[in-house]
Amino acid sequence: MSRETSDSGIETAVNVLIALALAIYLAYLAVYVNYAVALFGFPFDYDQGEGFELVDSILLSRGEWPYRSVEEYPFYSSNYPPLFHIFAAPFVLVFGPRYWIGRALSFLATLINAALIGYAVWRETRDRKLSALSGLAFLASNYVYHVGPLFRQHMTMVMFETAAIVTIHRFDEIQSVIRRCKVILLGLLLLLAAGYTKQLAVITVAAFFGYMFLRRPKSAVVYGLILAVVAGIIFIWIDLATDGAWSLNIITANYNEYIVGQFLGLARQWFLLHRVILLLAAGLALYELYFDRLSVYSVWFAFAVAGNTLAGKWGAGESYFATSIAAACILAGIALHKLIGLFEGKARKFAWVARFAVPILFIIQAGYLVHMPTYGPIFGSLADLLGLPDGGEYYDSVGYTQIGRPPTRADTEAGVRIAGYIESDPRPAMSEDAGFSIYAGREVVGNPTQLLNLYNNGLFDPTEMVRWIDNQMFGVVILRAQFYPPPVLDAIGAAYDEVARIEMNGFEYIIMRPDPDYEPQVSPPEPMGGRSGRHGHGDGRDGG
Amino acid sequence: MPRGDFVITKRMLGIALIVAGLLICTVMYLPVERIGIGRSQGFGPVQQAGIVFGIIVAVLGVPLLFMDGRPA
Repeated sequence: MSRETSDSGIETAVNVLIALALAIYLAYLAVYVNYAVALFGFPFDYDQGEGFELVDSILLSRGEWPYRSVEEYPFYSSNYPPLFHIFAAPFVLVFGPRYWIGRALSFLATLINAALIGYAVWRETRDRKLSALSGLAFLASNYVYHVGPLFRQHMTMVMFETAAIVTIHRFDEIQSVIRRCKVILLGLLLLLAAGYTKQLAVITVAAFFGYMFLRRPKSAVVYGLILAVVAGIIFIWIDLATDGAWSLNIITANYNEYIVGQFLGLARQWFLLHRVILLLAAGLALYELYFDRLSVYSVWFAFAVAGNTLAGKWGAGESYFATSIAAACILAGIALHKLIGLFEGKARKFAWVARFAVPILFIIQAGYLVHMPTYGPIFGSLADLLGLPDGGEYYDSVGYTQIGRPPTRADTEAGVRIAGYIESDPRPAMSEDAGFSIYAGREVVGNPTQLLNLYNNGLFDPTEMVRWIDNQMFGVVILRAQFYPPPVLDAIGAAYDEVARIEMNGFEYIIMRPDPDYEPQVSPPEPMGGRSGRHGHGDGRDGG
Repeated sequence: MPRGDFVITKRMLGIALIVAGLLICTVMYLPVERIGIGRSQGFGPVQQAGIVFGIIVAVLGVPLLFMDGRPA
């Protein structure tokens, strides 16, 4: 067999494997789109907290800040910065309070993020297939899949982080001073956007300036000061506009308990799920540390991995690992390209090994990420083909997961039944999920996790809320995880009786009505000034 | 390299990593309530994990000390 025939055979085999790898990752994309479309049509909270982000968008669409005192009715405040909700606000004005707005925005952010990852790899390698695989690997991550199409701000923050890092890459090699300034200022703007989408972006801010400091220390100091001044002015402006509620709810209330077991469990899962791209990324970062100049991607990866430790905070979760996954996808793509270059330069005879490694490693990585519905004509057949276990509607290599299964018609019907309890009573309702109140066109009362955070930090006096509960001012109380502060839960237990338990999305919701035999223990609250709790936010019946 | 801007070398980065690692270890070893961060009760698993992390950061910096003046 001639050398040319052998090379051509290897080329064909590599191309077939790359096509197979691309097909697998496109199948993951199809699973992701299917999940996103199912969520767009689901008019209730799928993940606890989505509804409160919708409330923030509603308030901002009315020109009101969502940062307020939680010690008076409706006992509500947000604990997130406003940018994501500002994006959603105009759509809320046009379409009403619909969950699909924020879900579609977040889903779009993940697609842009994947495109940015692909672009970052392409810019370094000029290899379109490798770039596509790197971008698609991000979307195939179980974590990105789970939280991507939710009405949560996290993935929008990650998109801005990636955009900032991709922008600043090799900034010091730009010869034109004006162009270099423009690139840095664009990077700063994207960092600012990331930070005002979610506080966690502080990790990427540190990586951004760490890289700048390595390349141009003076520039890092000057531009760092510029960012600090601009971010500080915005911070002070919002704090003054909200009478201090902004800093209280955004900063002070976020000192949560740290749960080591939670972090270790998530970190182990994160590593095992993404082990191929993480090892490639770590390998390239170490190579750059000792044998090359450190790229912004390696610095970002190192900071993001260190920042993963924040996933041990109470209330944190798998989404906290998304930044490190984005950084790892970029580094993995570049690492594989460098590997091919290394072999071609120093061991040409074995260069084919490196070329085979690209699709094979991506295929092995795909094998660790399996997640898909296991019913329906397409996914059902595919699940049978893959030999996925029967007995559920959804399979995830993570194991048990609260999110990921596309919601069904039964879930929507259960949500409508729960909202029916709110509609059947003219009094306001107190619900751990905001979605039922929004669906019924009522004002959303309380944000349980935020109330608990504030309470645990000695910043929430529940006396007034307990007064409302004790005097049975709420027509119905709906509990899911019972995240309210202990005195609030005690008051609910005393003044309300359970009347039903309804399952939705795998969670059991406890419906409670006022106990007719209960005698209030404290004086009633001040009159509500005509507020009946009706039509608080318009209704959220998009119905799918 | 722009005029007036200095170069961070591999060796300087190595020193920075070692100092940062030792600083992390020191902060983690000190009783948390004494330096007023968090609500942890003294030395526990968080502090142990922090010390391990600090040692890794410091060890990563050691080989860089033996490198020439290449930029980081």
